[in-house]
Amino acid sequence: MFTTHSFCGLVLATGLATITSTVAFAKTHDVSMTAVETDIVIEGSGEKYAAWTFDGQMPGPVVRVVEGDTIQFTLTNPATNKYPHAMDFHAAEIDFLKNYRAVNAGETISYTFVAKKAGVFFYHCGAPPMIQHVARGMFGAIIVDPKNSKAWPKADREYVLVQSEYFKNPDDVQSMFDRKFDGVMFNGGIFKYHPFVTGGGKLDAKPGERVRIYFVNAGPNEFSAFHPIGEIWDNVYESGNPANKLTGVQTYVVGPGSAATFDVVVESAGAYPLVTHSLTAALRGAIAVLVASPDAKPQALMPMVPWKVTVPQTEITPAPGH
Amino acid sequence: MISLWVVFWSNGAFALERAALTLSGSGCRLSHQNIIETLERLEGVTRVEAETIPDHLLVDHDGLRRTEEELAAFVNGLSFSQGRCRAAVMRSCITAGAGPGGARPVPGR
Repeated sequence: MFTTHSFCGLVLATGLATITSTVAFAKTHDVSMTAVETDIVIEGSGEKYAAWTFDGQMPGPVVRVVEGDTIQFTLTNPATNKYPHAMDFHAAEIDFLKNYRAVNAGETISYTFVAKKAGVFFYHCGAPPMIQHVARGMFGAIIVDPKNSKAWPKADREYVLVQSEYFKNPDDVQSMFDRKFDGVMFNGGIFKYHPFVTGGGKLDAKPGERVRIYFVNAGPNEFSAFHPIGEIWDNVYESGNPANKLTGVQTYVVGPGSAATFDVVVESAGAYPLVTHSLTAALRGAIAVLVASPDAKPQALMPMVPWKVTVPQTEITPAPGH
Repeated sequence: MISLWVVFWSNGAFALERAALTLSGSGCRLSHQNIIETLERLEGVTRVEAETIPDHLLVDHDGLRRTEEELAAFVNGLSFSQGRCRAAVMRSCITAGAGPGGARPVPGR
């Protein structure tokens, strides 16, 4: 849950011949999340996974603020949960000991930070074993928009993609340490945006639009080599900061716990799969097809989260547990 | 996108499969709707999606009665298209999985 209130702050920019004043309204956001241990759909077949989540979804909700804003954060770990949980915001520059400790079921933790640097950042649970808490779904993205909106070209369309590994047995921590993943997901689903796979959807754009992808690699272990098939990234911004600009990039590596922002302008109608070029990961789930069409409709920042699969009950539908 | 899938859960005997068929030829525009309706009447086919990807049909089926190649052959055998709308299984670098068997040869080779 997010609420935003109040503002303060004044920035004066002084030149030699002129004095220009720019008022920057730094806001304060109340961000509350709840650790939810729940089953969620991770495949188009309706297959469910015993996830640990923020607010019942994988990835957790996108937090979006402007550089300089203050975040007053509260994590609630309900008494109905079984495990301790925590929250580590990579956008924050604060003491780890006081703020990132795990809290038991039935407890809450609150802290405040200022998002001082623009970019897209990972957030995740840091309760031990962290590898399991991340693998089971406790991660998400926080976007810190640059205070100067002209620091980069305006995007016509934006998406958030979070890559993560899927381990079939959520209790087998050893397989997580051994990097024996069974699939790789974008936004908590295997082939979630692959229309050629049962239950798969797509990402939409219009030809000529500048599509901005805020990309986070949650890991817990694998690197992503993010590549647009049939296109070239117009720009890549390391950690999503407009100051860290690359141009004309075919593939860009995003390590676990890192993030980058990718701009692509699709010139003509068609399909442009966005993949990790680490093929063992792509062919096991990490493919998102961007379909460019003149009649493309607006989509959510993180489409199909949560992944709702309706299962009509028929006389031939086997009863669960059989 | 319609989120309506007839799903047989993983503990059931089978799950839905999706066949991606590319359509090409001068007769596709005219016979498009007929092809969709004929496929939808096939036993084991639960849904045909024609809007998601241009010039493609996404056919959800139970995987028990026909392979994706047989679905393409079925479309190619429809008399009303008179051979002017050809279907082929869409295979590409984003074809999901691969299985331990490796690459599949061209049929007949």
